[in-house]
Amino acid sequence: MVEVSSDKGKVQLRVRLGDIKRGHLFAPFGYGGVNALIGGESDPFSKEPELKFIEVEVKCHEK
Amino acid sequence: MSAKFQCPYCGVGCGLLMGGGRVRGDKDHPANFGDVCKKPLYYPKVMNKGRLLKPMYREDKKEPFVEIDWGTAYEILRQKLTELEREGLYFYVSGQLMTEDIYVINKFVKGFLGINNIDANSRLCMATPVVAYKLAFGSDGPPCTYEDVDDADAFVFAGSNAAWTHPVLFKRVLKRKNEGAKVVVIDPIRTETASKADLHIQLRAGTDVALFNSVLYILYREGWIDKQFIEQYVEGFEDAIAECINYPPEVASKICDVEVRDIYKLAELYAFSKKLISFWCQDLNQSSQGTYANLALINLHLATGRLNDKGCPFSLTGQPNAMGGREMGYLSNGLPGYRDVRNEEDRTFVESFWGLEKGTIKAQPGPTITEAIDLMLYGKIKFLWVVCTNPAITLPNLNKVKKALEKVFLVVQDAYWNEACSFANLLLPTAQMGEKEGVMTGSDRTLTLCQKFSEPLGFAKPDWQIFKGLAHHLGFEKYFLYENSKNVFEELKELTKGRLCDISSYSYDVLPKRWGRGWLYWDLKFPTDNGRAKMHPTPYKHRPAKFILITDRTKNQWHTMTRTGKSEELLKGEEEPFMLRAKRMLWRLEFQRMMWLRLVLIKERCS
Repeated sequence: MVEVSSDKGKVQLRVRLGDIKRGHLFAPFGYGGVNALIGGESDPFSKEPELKFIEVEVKCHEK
Repeated sequence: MSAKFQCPYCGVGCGLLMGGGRVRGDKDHPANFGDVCKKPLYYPKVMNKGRLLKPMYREDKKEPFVEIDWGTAYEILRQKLTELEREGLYFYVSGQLMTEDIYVINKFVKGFLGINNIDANSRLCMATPVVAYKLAFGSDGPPCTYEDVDDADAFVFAGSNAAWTHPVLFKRVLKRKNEGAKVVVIDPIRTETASKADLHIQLRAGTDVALFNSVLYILYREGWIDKQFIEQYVEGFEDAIAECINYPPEVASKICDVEVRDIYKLAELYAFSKKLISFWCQDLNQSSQGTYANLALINLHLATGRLNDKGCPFSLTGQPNAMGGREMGYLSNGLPGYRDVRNEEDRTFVESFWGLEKGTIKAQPGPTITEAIDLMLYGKIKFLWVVCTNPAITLPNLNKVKKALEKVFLVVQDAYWNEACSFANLLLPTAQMGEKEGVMTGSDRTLTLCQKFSEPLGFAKPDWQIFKGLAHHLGFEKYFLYENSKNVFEELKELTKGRLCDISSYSYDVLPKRWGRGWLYWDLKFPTDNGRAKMHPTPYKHRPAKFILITDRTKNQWHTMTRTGKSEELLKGEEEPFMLRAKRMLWRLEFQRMMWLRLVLIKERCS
C-alpha cells in the first residue's frame, strides 16, 4: 500500500506496476476516492476542472 | 421481437437489441453494425441491482429515510422551491439522461423557474470541446462521422485510450490499420491503444499544447501547410504562427520529454497523409489548459486543410447522450438548438416558443457545478437537485464537495442508490434504460431511439415525467402537456429547425438517423461571424511536479461503477482500487522505505 497525498487530501491505494511514464501515476476515479486529491483548478474558458494533472506526494505505507 | 436501444455506457452510441433476456449488437445500426464490447452484454444482469424503488424523505439527514408517495414528494418540492430564493436553487443533470428528459428539465429550470442555475456532468468532460469547436468553427458539433474512419489512412489518438473507452470505434480503426493505415497515440501511459500503435509518443502529462504547437512550427517552417486552404477559409493563421514559433522541436522535446524525431514524425503525418483523423478525449479536455489543447490540435487541421475528404478533428464523447444534452443546451449557458442565454435573439426565440414573457430567461449564465459547490459552502445556494449523476465520486476536491452536500437540502433523482444518496433529504426513483422510451445522440451525431423493453421497477418514473408532475403541481400544466416521450420529442425538435443540429423533420420511426451531412462543413462555410474557420494562438503554461497523478477509468468499468461494478464478470481483475506506477519508480520508493525503516530503528535506539 502507498499513501498518496496532495494539498487537498490523502488516500491509500494498493500499488500496481505498469508501463507509465516515470514520475507519473494513474488511479481509476470510480472507486478509492482519488478525487479527494484533486484541487480546484479549471480551464479558464470551459470551466472544466483539471482531472489529469494532480501534483501528489507518495509515501510507502507499512502494513 | 427484439427491442432496439442505444448502449447506456460510452459515447460511441452503439445500437443494441434486447431479446430473450440477452443483449446483442444491432447489425443495422450505423455506429457499430452489430459489433459490441463487453460492458452492455451484462446490462440485463445488473440493471435491477441496487435500485431506488420508492420516493423517500427525511428532513433531518441524521434520521433514516421514510417512504412517501409521489404526491407528498411534489408537495415537499413545491414548498422548498417557493420558500427559497430562486438563486438559492441549483440543478445538476447528466449526459446519461435521454434528450426528452434533458429538454423538460432545462425548460422547467431556465424557462419556468427563470434561473440558469443548472449544469450537467458534461462540465467534467465535454465542456472543453464545446468551447473549442465554437471558437474554431463557430458551432459545437464534430465535423465528420465514423464513416470517415473507413477511408482514412492516418489516425492520431491524443489523450484517448479508445481501446478501453470507445472499443467498438477503435476496432474499426484497427481494421484500417491492418489495411495499412498509420496510428499514433499520444499518452503518458502505455495504454492498450498505445501498444497497438505504430508510434507511441509518451509525453509528460499536460504538455500536449507544447507538442501540437511544435508540430505547427515544423509544418510552417517546412512549408507543409496548405496556403490556398488558409487563404480561402481560415483566419488567425498569423497569430497562431506567432505563438508556435516559441516551440521549435528542440524546445518542445524538453518540455514534453519526447524525442525530436517523434515530433517530426507526427508533423509528417499531418503533412503527407491522404486523410487524417485526430481523435481526442478526456486527457485533453479535463485539463486547466484544455481549451488551448483542443484548439492547438484543431490548428493542425486548419493549417493543413485537413477537413472533410482530407481529415477531421474528432472529439470523442464520454457519455451516451452528452451530444443530446449539448443539442438541448443543458450547460449553464445553453438553450435548445445550440442556442446561448447570452444571445438576446436566442432568448427571445425560446421564450416565445415556450409561451413566456420576454425577459423571463436570464441573460447571465448560471454558475458551473464547481462554482456552485463554493456557493453552497458560502450559504448562497441552499437547495441542490442531482439527476442521474454521482457528484460524491466524480467532482474534484471531494472533501469540500461532501461538506457542501451535507449543507444543502439535497434531492437525488436516480435509478440506483449511489454515494450521493447518503447525503440526500429526498430520493426520487427513476426508470432506467429499457424501462422508458426516448432518444440519445452518439459521438458522430446519430440519434437512436431507445425502445422500452420492461416496466419501471417499483414506483420509478421516467425523469421527464417527474419534472412534468412537479410542473403540474406548481400550476404550469398547460406548458407541460406531454402524454408520452414522443410528445416531448415532437416539441423539442421544433427548436432545432434551421439550426446546425436540425432534427425538425425527424420522427421516432426514422431513427437511427444522423443530423447534419456526413461532413458538417461540407461547403467549407463556417457559422462564424465572417464564415471562416479560426486558428487561435495557444500559449503553453508549464507546471512543475515531482509526481503527477492522472485519473481515468478501467477497461470494463464505466465511470462510478453504479452498474458495471455489480457484475462479477466485469469486475474481474479490477475488484480493488489501485494506483499504477512505473516499474522504474520501484527503486525510488524502495529507497524511501529503507530510509523510513532506518528512521524507525534510530528512533527506537534513541528512546
